[in-house]
Amino acid sequence: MCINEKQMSGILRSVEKPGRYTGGEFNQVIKDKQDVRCRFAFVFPDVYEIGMSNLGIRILYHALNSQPDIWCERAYTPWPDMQEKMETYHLPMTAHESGDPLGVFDIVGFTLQYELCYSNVLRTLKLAGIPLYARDRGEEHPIIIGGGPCSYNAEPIADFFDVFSIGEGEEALPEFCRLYIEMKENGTYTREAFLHEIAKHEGFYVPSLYDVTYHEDGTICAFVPKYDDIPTKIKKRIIEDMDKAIFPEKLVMPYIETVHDRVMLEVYRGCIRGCRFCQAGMVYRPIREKSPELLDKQARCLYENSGYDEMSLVSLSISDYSQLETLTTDLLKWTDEEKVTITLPSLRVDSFTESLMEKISSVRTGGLTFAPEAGTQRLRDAINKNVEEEDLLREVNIAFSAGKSSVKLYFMLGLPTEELSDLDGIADLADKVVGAYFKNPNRNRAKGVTVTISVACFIPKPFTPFQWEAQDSLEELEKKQKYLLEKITNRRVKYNYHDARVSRVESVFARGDRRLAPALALACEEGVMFDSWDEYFNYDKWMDIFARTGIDPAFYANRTFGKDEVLPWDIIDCGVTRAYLWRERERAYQNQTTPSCAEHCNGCGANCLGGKNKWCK
Amino acid sequence: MVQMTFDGPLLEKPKTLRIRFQKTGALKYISHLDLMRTMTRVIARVHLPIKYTCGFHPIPHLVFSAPLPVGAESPHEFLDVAVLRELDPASVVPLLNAGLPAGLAVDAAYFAETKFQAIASAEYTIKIHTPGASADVAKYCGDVLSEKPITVLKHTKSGDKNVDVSPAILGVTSSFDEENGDIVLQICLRADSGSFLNPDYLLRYLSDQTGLLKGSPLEEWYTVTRTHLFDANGQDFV
Repeated sequence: MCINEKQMSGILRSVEKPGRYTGGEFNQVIKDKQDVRCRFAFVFPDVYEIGMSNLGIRILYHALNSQPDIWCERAYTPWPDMQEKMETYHLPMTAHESGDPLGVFDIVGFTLQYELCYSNVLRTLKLAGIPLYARDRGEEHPIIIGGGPCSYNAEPIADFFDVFSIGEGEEALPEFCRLYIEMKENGTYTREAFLHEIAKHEGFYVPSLYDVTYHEDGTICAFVPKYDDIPTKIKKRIIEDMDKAIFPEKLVMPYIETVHDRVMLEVYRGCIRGCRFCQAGMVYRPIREKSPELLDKQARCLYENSGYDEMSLVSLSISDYSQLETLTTDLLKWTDEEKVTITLPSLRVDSFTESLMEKISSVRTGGLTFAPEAGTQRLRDAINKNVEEEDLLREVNIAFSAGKSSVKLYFMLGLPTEELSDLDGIADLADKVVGAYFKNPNRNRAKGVTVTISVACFIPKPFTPFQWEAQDSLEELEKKQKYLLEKITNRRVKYNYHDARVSRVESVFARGDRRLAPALALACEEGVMFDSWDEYFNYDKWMDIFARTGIDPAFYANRTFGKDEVLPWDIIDCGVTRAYLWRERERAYQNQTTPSCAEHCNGCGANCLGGKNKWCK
Repeated sequence: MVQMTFDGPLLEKPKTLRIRFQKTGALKYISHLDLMRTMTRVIARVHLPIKYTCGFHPIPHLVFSAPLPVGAESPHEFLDVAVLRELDPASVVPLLNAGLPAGLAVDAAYFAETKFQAIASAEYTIKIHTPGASADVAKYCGDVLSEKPITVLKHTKSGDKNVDVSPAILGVTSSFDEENGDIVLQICLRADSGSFLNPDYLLRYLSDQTGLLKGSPLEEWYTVTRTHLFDANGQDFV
C-alpha cells in the first residue's frame, strides 16, 4: 500500500536510525522514468551502513547509471525494527532513489559478499513480495541476478536466482541489461528465452539450465546442461586493463555514519601471494594494477567530489603494489595540505618498510595490524603465508620506535595439519611481540603495550588449495579455543576469538550444494535473518532446520572431499585450475612454500583469462 | 559545479562566518552528528578557508546554534565557522548549495555580529493530525500544556529523573485548522544553553495525558517545525 510522507514520518520516528531509509543522499542518481528502458534495483542484503561501505556497489552503480537508458537504484535489507513496521502496516520493500517497490523493477540484483547473508537475501525477496523460488516466478516478476564472491559457489542459493554474473561485473551487467532491452523491444522476450540467451554470453550462469545428478553416497555425479548451445563450464569475466576500467567519480554520500565512510581507492585486483586458505587470493587472479599516475588523478578527483578527510588504499595486499613508493609520494604531495589522512589496510609484514612507516605515521593511523595467520613457522609454511618470525619482530619494532603501542595480530585456528604445538606458537609469538616492546629503547614509555590477538576459525572455501579439507568438528574447535585461552598468561595480550558455531554454519554454505535450498526456504519461513549479526545468529535454530530438512551439516563442513569428486563449484571456471590447487594442497602437506607471482610463475592457470599485467607468463 | 577559489589575503584574526540554512524534508531525520559530517564535507569540497582544530588529526571547527530535535524541520538554522581569509560572504552561498541537497539549502552567509549565547528562546509549531480532532480538543491540548507543574522523565547524565519543565515553557497557544483537521500548537520554549527544552518532551507528556498519538501512524501523525529563534528582547536572532 501507499502512504503519505506524514504517515511515514510516524514510522520513521519510531525506528532506530531513520536515515537508513530516507535516501536523498548527495550524488544519488535520479532519472526520468520516461527516458529509462531498464530499471535495475541493486540490493545489498544487509543493513544500510554495511551496504553503503561496499566498493563494488559504488563501481557497478556508476557502470549501470552511465548508460542513459538504464536506471540503477539501491536497496538494503531493513533492520528488524523496520521490518516489523513494514509488516504491521503492509509496506513493501522499496528502492532508495524512487521509493518504488522492488517488484516493479525489471531486474533485481543481489551482491553476495558472505554466505551468512543468504537468509537476508530470502528475507528481502519476501519483503518485496517476490516468490522465493525462481521456478515460481512468472513474467510479471523481475529477473533476479546474483554476483559477488559467493557466486563462485552459488549452488546453495541457486534455486532462488534466475541467473548469476560470474566475475567482474562492470562490463557484464550493462551487457546483461542491453540484451534485456533488446529482447523486450523486438518482442522476443520471455523469461525463458531471455535466460537461455544470456546463458550463451560469457560469465552468466543460469542454474535452472543445468541439472545436477548425485551418486548414492550423496556426492555430485554431474552437471548436465539442458541445451547443447550453452557452455558446460561458466568462465568468469575480468576487466583486462584496469587503467581503462570505468571509475565512479562521484560517490553517493551517506548522511548517517557508515562502516567505511571514506574514499576507497582501488589500487589493483588480484593477489601475487598464494595463501592456501584464501579464496580472494585465488578467484580475483590475474593481478591487474592501475598506474600510479592514474591513481593519483582518481584520488584527487574523489576527494574533490566528496570532501572526505580519509582515504583508504584498497587491494588484497597493499604493500605488494609494485609502485607503492611512487603512489604514496605523489599522494602525500597534496593530501597533507588538504588534511586528508591516508590509511593502508592489509599490510604484510615481509614487505612493510621503514620508509612506508614514516609516511603513514605522518598521517593518522590507528593501531597496526598484522596477519601471521599461524603460530609456528612450520604451519605458516604449510599455509604458504610466507612470513618469518624475524620479519614480524622487525616490523613491530619499527612500529614501536615510531611511537605505536598497540598491535593487532590475526590468526586462524583449525588449519589443516595443525597440532597443539602450533597453538602454543600463537601464545609464544604474542609474548615475543610484548617482549620486543620492552626491549625497544625508543618505545613510547607513556603508554603500556597492548597486543591483541584475534583468532578466527578456518573455513574451507571453494577455489582454494584447502577446498577439499574438512573443517574441525565444533567440539574440536571449541576445545582448541579453550586450550589457547589457557596458554595465554601474559596480561598485556588480549585474546579475541570468533564463535565457532558461526564458522561452522558458514562452512556448510561455503561448500554446500543445491540440496541446501529447502533449509534456506524453511529458515526464511521461520524468520531467520541477519545471521552475520551476533544478536540474531542462532546456531540451535540452524541445526533444527537442517535436521527437519534432512541435511547433515557435517557432510558439507566436516568431510574431506575426494580428490576426483565433482565439487558443487565445478560448474564455474575462475581461471585457476584444479590441478594447480591440488598441487598446492600436496605442497601444504609437505610444509613446502610456493613463491609469489612476483618471484616466479607457478602456472596457476589464471593467465588464460588474459588481462594486462606485469607478472603472468 | 561552480568553480571558485578563495585566495583573498590572510586575515590577522579569523572572522566568524555565519551560515543560515534550512533543515527540511528527508533531511529532518539526520542527527546532529550526521549534520556536522555533512557540512564538514561540503566545506572541504568548496575549499572554504576555515580554521581547523590543531592536533594530529585536524578537523574543521564548526559550531551550530541550538540543537534541533531529530524529525523536526526548521527554516532557519545557523552554523558558525572561523574563516582565515578575506572573502565575500555572499559568494559562499551558491558554492555550498551546489554541494548540498535541497533539504539543507543555505539561504544566507554573513559575518556574525552576535554570539549564539544571545539565543534565549525558540518557537515551535506542532501540528497534530488525529481522528476526532476539533476546536475543543485543540483548546484542551493547549490547556494541558499550560498547567503547572509539567513533570516529565528526563534523561540526564546521572540517570533518568522526573523534572518539572514548566518553567522552561514561555507560552502556549492552540488553534484548530478546519481545512486539514489539524490541531495546531504554537509553543515558545527557553533555548538558552542550560535551560534548553526539547519539544519532544512536551509531545510525550501531551500524549500521555490525553491519549493522543498512541494509535497507528497511518491514522495519527504530527509535525514539528522550529519557526523562530529569539534573543532576550524577543527579536529574531540573526
